[in-house]
Amino acid sequence: MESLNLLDLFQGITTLLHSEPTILIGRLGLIVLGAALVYLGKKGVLEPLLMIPMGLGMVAVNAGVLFLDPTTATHIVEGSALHPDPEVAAQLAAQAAAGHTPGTLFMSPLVEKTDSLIYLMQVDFLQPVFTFAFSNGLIACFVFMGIGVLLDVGFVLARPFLSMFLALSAELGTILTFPIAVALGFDFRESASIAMVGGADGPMVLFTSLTLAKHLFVPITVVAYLYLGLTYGGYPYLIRLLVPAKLRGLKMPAKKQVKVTSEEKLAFAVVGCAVLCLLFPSAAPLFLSLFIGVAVRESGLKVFMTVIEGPMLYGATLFLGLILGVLCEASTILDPKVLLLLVLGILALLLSAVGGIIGGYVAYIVSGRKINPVIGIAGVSSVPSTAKIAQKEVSKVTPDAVILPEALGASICGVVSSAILTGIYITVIPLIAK
Amino acid sequence: MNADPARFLPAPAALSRPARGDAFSPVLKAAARHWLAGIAVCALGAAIARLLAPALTDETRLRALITLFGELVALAGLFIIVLGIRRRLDQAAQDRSD
Repeated sequence: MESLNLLDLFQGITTLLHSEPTILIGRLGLIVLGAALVYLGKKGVLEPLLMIPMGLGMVAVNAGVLFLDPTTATHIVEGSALHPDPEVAAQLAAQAAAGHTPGTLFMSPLVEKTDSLIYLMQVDFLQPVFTFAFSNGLIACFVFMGIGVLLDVGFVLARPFLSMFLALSAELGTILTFPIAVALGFDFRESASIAMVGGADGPMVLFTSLTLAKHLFVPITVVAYLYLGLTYGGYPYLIRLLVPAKLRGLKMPAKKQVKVTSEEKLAFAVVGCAVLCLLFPSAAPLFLSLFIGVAVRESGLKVFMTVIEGPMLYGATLFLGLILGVLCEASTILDPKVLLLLVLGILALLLSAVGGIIGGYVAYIVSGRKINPVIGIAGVSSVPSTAKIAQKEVSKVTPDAVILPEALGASICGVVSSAILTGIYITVIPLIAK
Repeated sequence: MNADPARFLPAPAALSRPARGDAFSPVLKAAARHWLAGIAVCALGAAIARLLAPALTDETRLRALITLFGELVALAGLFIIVLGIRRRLDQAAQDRSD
């Protein structure tokens, strides 16, 4: 009987030892990072709904690398885009045929050919979800439907000038990061995708990068969601840094409450959806998803609301987190551009927050010092987090000051303005980049 | 089975609704004007962006500029609608305080 090599039993360790030093360090680093995300999610520092599945996915995919059987490996190599260097391509094919290709049984995101995809769907358990729901933006649209059901556009319609002004100010990062990224060597499509991080809306970043820069959508989306998690922790400090306590505690004059009727909101949703789809057909799935949520809410279709805001939104969030985590496999994510993406992502979110607060200051001055400048940060569209952060910071200084309705108006308008910027980028960039 | 014939009758609020001729108060008429004007401006903007821009020129940058202009016009149309709603709300708030 041949002696048994223990390392053949524990292939995760064997593949780790056989990998190049960069990949080895990357895999170990990502396992630690994944565990840290789970911990920070549990502690509430980062968004737990996303970070816990994402972190665990990251741990599992980097630990669970094995040598793929020749058939699966061949399908992966032949189904993906051919390596530009013919020698490397031949070497990869030979490695696959010999059964020496490392890989996982989660999914193969780079495979494009239909035959290979059909084969892999019978092997990789997450491949069907990735192919049928993630890479075509369906999950992003499900999340957007959920957001639509949660949005009350009445907050925007009641204070249109303030909401739109603050939302536009808070798009500073989305606008300024684009030329900065171009100056750093990214092409127009990549720059627009990373600039969308400034919109602070995960589904929008996913949709833009899938449309404009598919080769970079993994690192861009991961960076976006990681940073969106960090805004909960970071923005309060930014508010305290940029707005003195005296202004933070400013009470805004109470407005007489007159409700926008549900008929008006529904009609606005229909007209808004039609106009935006006419203008930006490439982003039409996003607009439809957002406004179908709004229409369902305003029509009072409680059965649909229960489905969309419950199983659909949370199911989509679970799979979004899981797939983003599984996409963070060292050999996929380690790209020399990732470091720059990390810097540009945080810059985009920082600029958007600063832009929002500058907008808040302008509103404060123009209104005759009646509007609390803190609401500016709510223009960054992470509904309802940024509005809640703004209210929390104001309440810490003046407990009975209420800015939430105005902040929610700005925040909801921020979602719409981010969607419009997505539409502009998706439509205009391919024209300029020709 | 609970068959209450009253459920087939119009709701009390509907019974007290004004006659068809004077259903639109000046405030609602103004709001309707904003809706119509807004939708017209939206349609104009969409036509500039989607029909005029591709037909007018092959020069990509100029085409992108005209498209962007059309998009802004259409968004201004949405803004006009929102303005109408805002005015109706202001008027309703004023009426309530009077």
